[in-house]
Amino acid sequence: MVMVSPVRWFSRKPAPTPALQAAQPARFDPADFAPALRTRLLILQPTPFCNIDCDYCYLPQRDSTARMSLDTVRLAAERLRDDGLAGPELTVVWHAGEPLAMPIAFYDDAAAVLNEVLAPACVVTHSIQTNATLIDDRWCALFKRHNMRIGVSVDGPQALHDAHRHTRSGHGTHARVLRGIAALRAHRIPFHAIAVVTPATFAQADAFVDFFEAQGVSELGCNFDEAEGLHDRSSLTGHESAHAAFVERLLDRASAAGSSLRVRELALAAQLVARPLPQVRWRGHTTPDNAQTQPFALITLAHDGSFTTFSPELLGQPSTEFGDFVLGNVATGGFLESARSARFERLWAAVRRGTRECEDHCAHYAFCGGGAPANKLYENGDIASGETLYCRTMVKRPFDAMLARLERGRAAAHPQVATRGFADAS
Amino acid sequence: MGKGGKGNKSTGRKSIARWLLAGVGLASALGASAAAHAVTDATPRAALEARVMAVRAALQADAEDANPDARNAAPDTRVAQWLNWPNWNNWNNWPNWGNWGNWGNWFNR
Repeated sequence: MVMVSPVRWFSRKPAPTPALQAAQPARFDPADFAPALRTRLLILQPTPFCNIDCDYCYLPQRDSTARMSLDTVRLAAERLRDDGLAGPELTVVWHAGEPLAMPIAFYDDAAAVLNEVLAPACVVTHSIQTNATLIDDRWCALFKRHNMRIGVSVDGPQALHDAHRHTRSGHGTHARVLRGIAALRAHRIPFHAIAVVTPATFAQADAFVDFFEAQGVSELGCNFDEAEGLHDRSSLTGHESAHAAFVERLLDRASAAGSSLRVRELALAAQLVARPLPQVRWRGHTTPDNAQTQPFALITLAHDGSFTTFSPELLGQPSTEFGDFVLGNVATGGFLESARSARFERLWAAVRRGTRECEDHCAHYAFCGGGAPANKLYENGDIASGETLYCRTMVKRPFDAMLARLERGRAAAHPQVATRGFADAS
Repeated sequence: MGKGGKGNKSTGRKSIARWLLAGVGLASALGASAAAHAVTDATPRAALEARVMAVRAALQADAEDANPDARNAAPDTRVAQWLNWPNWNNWNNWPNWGNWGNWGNWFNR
């Protein structure tokens, strides 16, 4: 008898599982986590101001010229240390609005403060994501002084870039970005690029890759246009076949002999095919490691000291259920203390329910660990939900493309290799 | 189903019969759905994971072909280069920049 998969007419309540139990209301206790909770990224937003005005930006208050004080930097570091969240390594990401709108001296002083509070037990690495329009020799000297990792936001050839990344007066910024990149190259400062990819990019895949190779970019991240915050609809909606073709073309180009370009999404996919994700345990329930679903693995701090955790894009965004997602302020309390608030408990419960949704229904769960809460909120209207367009564009399709490519290549050369159960080797 | 109109008795009986049949079908489908719930949900995941395991095994075999001592040693460098990547969803994967190795070797050797 042939078993035909039936249509599931109605959603049904799943049988109780450890995952389901995990989604019940529960008091937060850092002792429930194994390995111990550690903050991996401290995302500091030194100013909400941005000197340009991209049409797909999700950030509110880009006109505000408010600035983070050194006292706030110090408090953030002290709270992290005192809460036991600082491990042996910490990446500080200076991000959102435009970090280079701050004075150069601020970063010298901030690096000194962070080092003073956290070293030597914790080694701090600094990263900056910038639109590059303000980079000059003085900024390059700062990057070198602190060995900062630089990410440049650039969308590819001029027409693609200038279609969305404008000055406040509406002019394209591509030429200014290239001047910034030229300064980085002149100073031999390594940098990566992050490009927002839209359907227009799909139609110019080769020109897109050619541009980054010509600019000496060896590592490229593709942020496939996401619906987030003020940018409430992805331009990729309805263009998923073109996305699949684009991913295949990227894979062709990046895996071609002689290519020096490594694409983040494909490199991550390769890693996930090659190695299982680490597992994390919470109250006996094991999940694949996903920093966006673990409390305080990522902490995002606004210029005024207010902070949130889980997806960084959530901070300051309006929500009927979670307010502005602010869980506390380093001026008045620590990170772990904020976990006793009703808002944290609601948010964390929603994140756990969303992870459970992925665990129950997504074939890629073992390679992801539960998706991105911010994308679930903005695409599905509910953090406690499952698959998103973001999942498909950033995770699933690159993973599937890489897996298929490896199957056609390496696996085909070893037909004698048995296919064991997945759990046997992970 | 036809559009609008009140219809006559004959078409009314046919409609009732259709609805009854549809009801039986629906009940059957619901029963089958309950029984096959695990199958419909687990099959794509199991299939995907089996494919991944096959590729991992092939990569390992490839490494052992290149280095017979690799069987009991650490994975070869083409795999080991990924080991210090802590996370897929580490938000733009900041700690990993500059540390991506060259997976293109897997295709080009």
